[in-house]
Amino acid sequence: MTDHRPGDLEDRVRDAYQSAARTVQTLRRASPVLAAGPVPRPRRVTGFVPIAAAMAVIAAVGVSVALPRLLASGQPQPSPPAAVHASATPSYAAAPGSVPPYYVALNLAGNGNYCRANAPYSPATDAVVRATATGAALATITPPRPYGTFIGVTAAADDQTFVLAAQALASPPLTQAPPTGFFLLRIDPANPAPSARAQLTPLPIKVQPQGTGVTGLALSPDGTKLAIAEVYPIAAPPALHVVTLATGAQLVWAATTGGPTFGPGTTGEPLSWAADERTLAFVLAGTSVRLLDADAAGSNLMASSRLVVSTPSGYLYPSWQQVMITLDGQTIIAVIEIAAEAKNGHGTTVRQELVTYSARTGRLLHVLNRIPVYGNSERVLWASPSGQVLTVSGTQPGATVGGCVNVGATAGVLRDGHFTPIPWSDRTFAAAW
Amino acid sequence: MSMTVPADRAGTGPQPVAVPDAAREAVDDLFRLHALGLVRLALMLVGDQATAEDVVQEAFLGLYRAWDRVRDPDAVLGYLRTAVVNGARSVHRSRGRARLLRVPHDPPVWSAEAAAMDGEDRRAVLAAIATLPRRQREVLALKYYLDLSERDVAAILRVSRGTVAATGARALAAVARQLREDQ
Repeated sequence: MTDHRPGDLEDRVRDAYQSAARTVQTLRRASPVLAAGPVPRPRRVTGFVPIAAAMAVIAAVGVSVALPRLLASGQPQPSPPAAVHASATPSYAAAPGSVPPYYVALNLAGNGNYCRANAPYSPATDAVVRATATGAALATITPPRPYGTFIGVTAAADDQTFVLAAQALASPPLTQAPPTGFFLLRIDPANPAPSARAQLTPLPIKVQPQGTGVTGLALSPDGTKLAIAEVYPIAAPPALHVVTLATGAQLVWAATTGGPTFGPGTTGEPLSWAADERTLAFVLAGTSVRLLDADAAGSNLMASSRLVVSTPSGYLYPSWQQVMITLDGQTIIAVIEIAAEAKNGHGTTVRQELVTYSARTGRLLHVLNRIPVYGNSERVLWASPSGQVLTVSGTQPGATVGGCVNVGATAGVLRDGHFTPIPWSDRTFAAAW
Repeated sequence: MSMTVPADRAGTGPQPVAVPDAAREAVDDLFRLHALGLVRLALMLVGDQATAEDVVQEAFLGLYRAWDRVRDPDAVLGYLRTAVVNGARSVHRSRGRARLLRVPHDPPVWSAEAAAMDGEDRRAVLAAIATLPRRQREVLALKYYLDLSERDVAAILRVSRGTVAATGARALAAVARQLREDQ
């Protein structure tokens, strides 16, 4: 290459900058400031923790995480309106790290020893709309009768649309599991009228057949489709349902009889959508992370999905606690619980890792943290579209609430390796942004 | 140091002051007008779109928080550009501090790995710029991407015009040297 005159180099620099600028044609994120009316933003999270898994019992020798139990199903009659209690003034404070300003948390309701031997199968919970930056509660939604608890929450990308799964209270031993129902929740935290800050509407979704347990819930980013992971009674295959909310139409992909289930080994959120509204990531216990094209024909879960990440080898047992695909569809974020033989050769040690994989190749990209297992698993509650900013819980030891090991005693924003705590209720066991 | 807000005590703590609607609408309008260009500017400084958007989001949030102190609406774009430059500096400081954890971020758009740009020479030029000291990279981006005058660049970086001129000249010389070495 010959020497260039300075003018030539300046032109080359300008040309190179313009070429780079052309790689950005659209923004992935809308204004971070709340404006009048809904502002679609590519943010969403799913927080679904089966109560039986969330409420671990502290045994004399340590902590065990209960596995999701199989639940019976039943479609309830149309329910009376839910009680919505508004409290606190709207919060306009900006949340750290550009995390959405509001979220819906599922909180233990009332007082008592939730995990005592004869306690209800699932303790009573409320859904609470909170401001991320301050933790202030802006509205509280109690489950409408005949339900007594919310067991899962999932969010669309518009920061105002959520789906809640509710269940009736029932005490063990169970001959029939409590009925499960689904509700659309729309929030408007900035509304000056407290009664208008949250609206709950029943969804006509049937969970069948009898004995079906719901172990995963994920609302598509545009809020039009709901993915439900269902675990059937033993000897029946588990299935993934995708419901179009506007029409009630369902697509079902079933695993083969005797195959892996969403249940044992996957106690966290097994479902997540990419922003293309068709790629659905899920994890099957003890096997792998897979991607399903929810728009493609097919009814067999394994045949209709592709393997992305196999369960890591080299450990005594790895257990997928949570798997989430980033909105841009490029990265799989996962929490893995790993047991390894103790260095002294006596017993095993358990730790958990927050890791990322390429969604295209399944290659391990990064280990974001490697920490002991506290009361419950680390959870990724929200991820920025590329996964660079995360809201996580369970990364620090927590207190116990009601005799149970607390889920998410602390939470915060993880960015560039730095963890910034956010206000967090010690009664929160699930949350969605 | 976590703060918890038990549900039965919610709403009793300090409450933030509600910002009037006008501020939100104004900042929203500014976002629609300028965000894409600012993301592109940030891209020149940090390399990947995701990080660039994070930087721009923070810039607009900062503007929103400080809206009641804005005196000259015409100066807002300059403020945002300064915020983007500062935000990009923070990104590099954070990346530098991450020692124990592998910090994930997308490869820069000029890398072969990103496969986002065409033209080997263009990638080579940006790769050479990426090796420069921070101040030189900032001057080049403001001067040759935004085509700002030395006076405007000086205002954004809060340095003298002479510093801008000298820094720019050194930066170009370093890029030229780098490109010759890469032949």
